[in-house]
Amino acid sequence: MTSFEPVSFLNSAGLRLHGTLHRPAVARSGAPAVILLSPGVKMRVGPGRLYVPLTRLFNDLGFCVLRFDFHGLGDSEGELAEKMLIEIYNHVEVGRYVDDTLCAVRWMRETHGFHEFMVGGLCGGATTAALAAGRDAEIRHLLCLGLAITLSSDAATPARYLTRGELDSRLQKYLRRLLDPKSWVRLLTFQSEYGVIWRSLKRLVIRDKPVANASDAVPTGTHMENANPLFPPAFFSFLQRGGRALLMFSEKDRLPSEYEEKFALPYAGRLANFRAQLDGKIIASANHVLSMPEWRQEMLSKVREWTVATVRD
Amino acid sequence: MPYTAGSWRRESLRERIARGESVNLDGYELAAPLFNSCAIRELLPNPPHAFPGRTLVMQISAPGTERTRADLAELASGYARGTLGNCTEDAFWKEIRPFYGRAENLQRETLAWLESGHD
Repeated sequence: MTSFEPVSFLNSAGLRLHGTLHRPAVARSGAPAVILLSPGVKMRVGPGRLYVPLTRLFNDLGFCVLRFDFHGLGDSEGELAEKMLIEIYNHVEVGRYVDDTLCAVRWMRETHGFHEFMVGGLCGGATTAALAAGRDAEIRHLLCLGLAITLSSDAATPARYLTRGELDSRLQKYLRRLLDPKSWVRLLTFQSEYGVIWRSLKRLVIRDKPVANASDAVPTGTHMENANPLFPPAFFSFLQRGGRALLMFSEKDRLPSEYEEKFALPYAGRLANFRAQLDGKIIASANHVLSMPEWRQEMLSKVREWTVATVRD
Repeated sequence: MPYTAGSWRRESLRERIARGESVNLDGYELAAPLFNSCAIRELLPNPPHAFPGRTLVMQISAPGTERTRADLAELASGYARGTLGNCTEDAFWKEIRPFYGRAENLQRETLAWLESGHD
């Protein structure tokens, strides 16, 4: 029978972080510990209890799972000083919770004797996992659901940083709304995103496509300006150590096109060396938080398949 | 189909639950056992003033819309010792642009009401 217990440990700043440790009925010998990281300002249960079935899946496979709240969130100590949510997202993207994650790894190592880890989560949780994986060699597996590889300044200037895929999607939406009076009211009362509309319409004329970068040079250009500069070095460091990653995205999310256009294509040359260590899947029709049961089931099936194939005795 | 504002009416959601279906509320599946265990089908006490205890009905108003809601005033008056409170907060129960570490006004008003009730 599986079991769980409330646990807590200190981060480097001395703040007590609270979580739950979930043990399998039959532990798999030598299995890595799984640490699930919260996205954004969510708690350790994840949006829509997303981490609950994930935890059960890993327990079922014989893995021990730790879920905990980052400092300033949920049950953990600390205060966040930011006034706007987007500022918090920015802090997450540049690694605010990497230290908490590394403290969790150290606590699991010192208290429970684990020496290999799978770290992951949704969105900002995946970003934190990737950044942490660049700094701790015992993180050997990354589970990234809706990995965010850009900085949230995107939201402040949406037109500037939208990908080609996003612009094409917006263009289709605008064309569908041509006969909607409410849309015209918004347009004529200065409520529309004019920059986005303009860049989308330009796609009718200029159909440029992203170009793969075969060299090791760091890609540059306007479309890369909100790409998180911390992600590529951390991710490649992890891959060079032999780490394995599962990258799953939701089709109705902006994140897969961001990953493709701002990381996979610009770094195609380097990524080619690590193809065998990477697996991926896009869940059709799914939204960012995998709201519907069928989307979750598809995600869980893929995670199970990847884990069984990747983590061998 | 996940529930979003305007896509389903409250009554249609209740009908689906009554038919034995579950409804998906932004990722949370809600079915009859949970719904029936916690749902209050009728907020107004029947008969009026049947509940003798102190009752706080707290109106949470968006800034600039603090005018007392008649339906909430009626609800509060349906309790023998009902009080209608009114506090100003943004919609902290969902992700909005400001970061809401805690709803200070709601906490303060509620605590004040609790502390004022010592006999």
